[in-house]
Amino acid sequence: MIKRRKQRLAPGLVVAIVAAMVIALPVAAANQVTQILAAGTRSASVANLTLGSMTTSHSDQTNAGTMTLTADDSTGSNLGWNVTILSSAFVYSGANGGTDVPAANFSLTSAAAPSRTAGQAISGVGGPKVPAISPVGTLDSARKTLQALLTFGNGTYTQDLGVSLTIPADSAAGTYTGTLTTTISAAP
Amino acid sequence: MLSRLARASLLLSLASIWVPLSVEAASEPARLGLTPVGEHGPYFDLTMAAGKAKELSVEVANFGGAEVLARTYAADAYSIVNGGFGAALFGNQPSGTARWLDYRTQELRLKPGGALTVDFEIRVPEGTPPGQYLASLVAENVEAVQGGGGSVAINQVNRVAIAVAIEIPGPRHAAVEIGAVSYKVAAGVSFVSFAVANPGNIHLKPAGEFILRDSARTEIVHTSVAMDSVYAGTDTRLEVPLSPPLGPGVYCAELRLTDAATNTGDSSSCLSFTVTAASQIVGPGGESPHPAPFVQAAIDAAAGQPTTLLVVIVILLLFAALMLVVQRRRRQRQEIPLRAQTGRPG
Repeated sequence: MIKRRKQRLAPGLVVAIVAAMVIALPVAAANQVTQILAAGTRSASVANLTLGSMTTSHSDQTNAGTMTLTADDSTGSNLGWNVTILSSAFVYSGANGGTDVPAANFSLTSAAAPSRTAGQAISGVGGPKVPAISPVGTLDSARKTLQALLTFGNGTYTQDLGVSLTIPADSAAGTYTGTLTTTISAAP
Repeated sequence: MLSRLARASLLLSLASIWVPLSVEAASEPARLGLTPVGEHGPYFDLTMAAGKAKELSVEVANFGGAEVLARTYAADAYSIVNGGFGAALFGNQPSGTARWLDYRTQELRLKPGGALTVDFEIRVPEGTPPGQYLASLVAENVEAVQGGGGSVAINQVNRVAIAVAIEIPGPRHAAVEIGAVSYKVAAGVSFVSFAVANPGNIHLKPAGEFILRDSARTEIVHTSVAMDSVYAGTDTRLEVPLSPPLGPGVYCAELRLTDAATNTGDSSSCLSFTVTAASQIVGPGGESPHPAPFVQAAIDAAAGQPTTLLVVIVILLLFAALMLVVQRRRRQRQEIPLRAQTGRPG
């Protein structure tokens, strides 16, 4: 009988001790609260690319479109960043024996001033901003469309970009698929 | 309690929901992070002597909402048009400073919030001259985010790149050289382009003036220009856009550049170029290799995005076949007790 009572009491005693520790420890540490904020990342992507369909023609055709770049710096580092875009050739797929369209036929035609979606306000000096020399040009070379200097760009920003694709005369009917590489970077 | 077959069919029906979602996840741009471990700053900024080595670590993380197959690699760094940092694309064989990095190219499947630390070594070759050197580390999505359908489709690769900057102590010499001028037209905008090189051993940020003159040497454009970083040992171009494009004729352009920090500069004379009526951007053009037929089919499928539908159909067919098997087994089990009762074979 006594042995059973001891057996019943032992687990209860352990629970009581643990409960007491759980209550006591926070009280002992009540003077200090620590919150660690882990760093996020920088990211850049484009969306809403509009390039209309085209029909075959005996003349070169230029297809103008727009896309929206979104750049985000959630690192909390306030160390600035740069965004570049670069295109590959447009690879032909279809049944008509077409030829790839070179990347040099895809151009950046305009880069608007960015808009803030969240976070730090835009500075005319520190950015984010369009580089001093306009980035318009052919996208067979990487083009920097947006940059934030040291202590700026700690937020989310969008930028409207104008693009244009020139389809050579007598191009075959089919699908032309390119790959756009957006890069956000940190460098000296 | 569920039979084995019933459990399998339940799992398969759950898989039919899961698999299409995984395929569809490739439509969300990747949000990858690349962070030096144990270093201050967003990129590696090292001072090392020739012949020395150092162990480093970088964290590759997925900050997006979907699982990502990420690729990380070391790449050459270069000066992009008008200056600034560029990291070479995957597939380019590293040369120069990038070869100092013993950084294994690898593909990592990262769940949302997942991260992996990659250890690597940098070793500066013996006898490397003093100066500033640059390489890069890159993380990107392996599976390009699919663009829309139509006759023109654009897929997307999202990269994050950080520099690995190495400073080897010793004498410094700054230099900038202006090279040849050229002219091209693209999408209704024309560009006068100068070759700009940094043969010195320190990074520069040249700025100055661009002047365009017509055949009578009359100034028609005079503007200030400010380049971003032109890294030591690299060359690039300064492209000045002009709208509308220049009419046919003979022109000349001059460029003056100075790096304010080092007071180093160069200037060109008025270099001539001719604009003809046919002055248009000319890409590499020509034939490109076409993929094999079965690869072509894969490209067509990807372009038209029927992959998801195909997977769902296959899953449903398998599910239907499994249910037929389950029902047949049930019938067989019912027939066995009947035979036991009657004592006659079925």
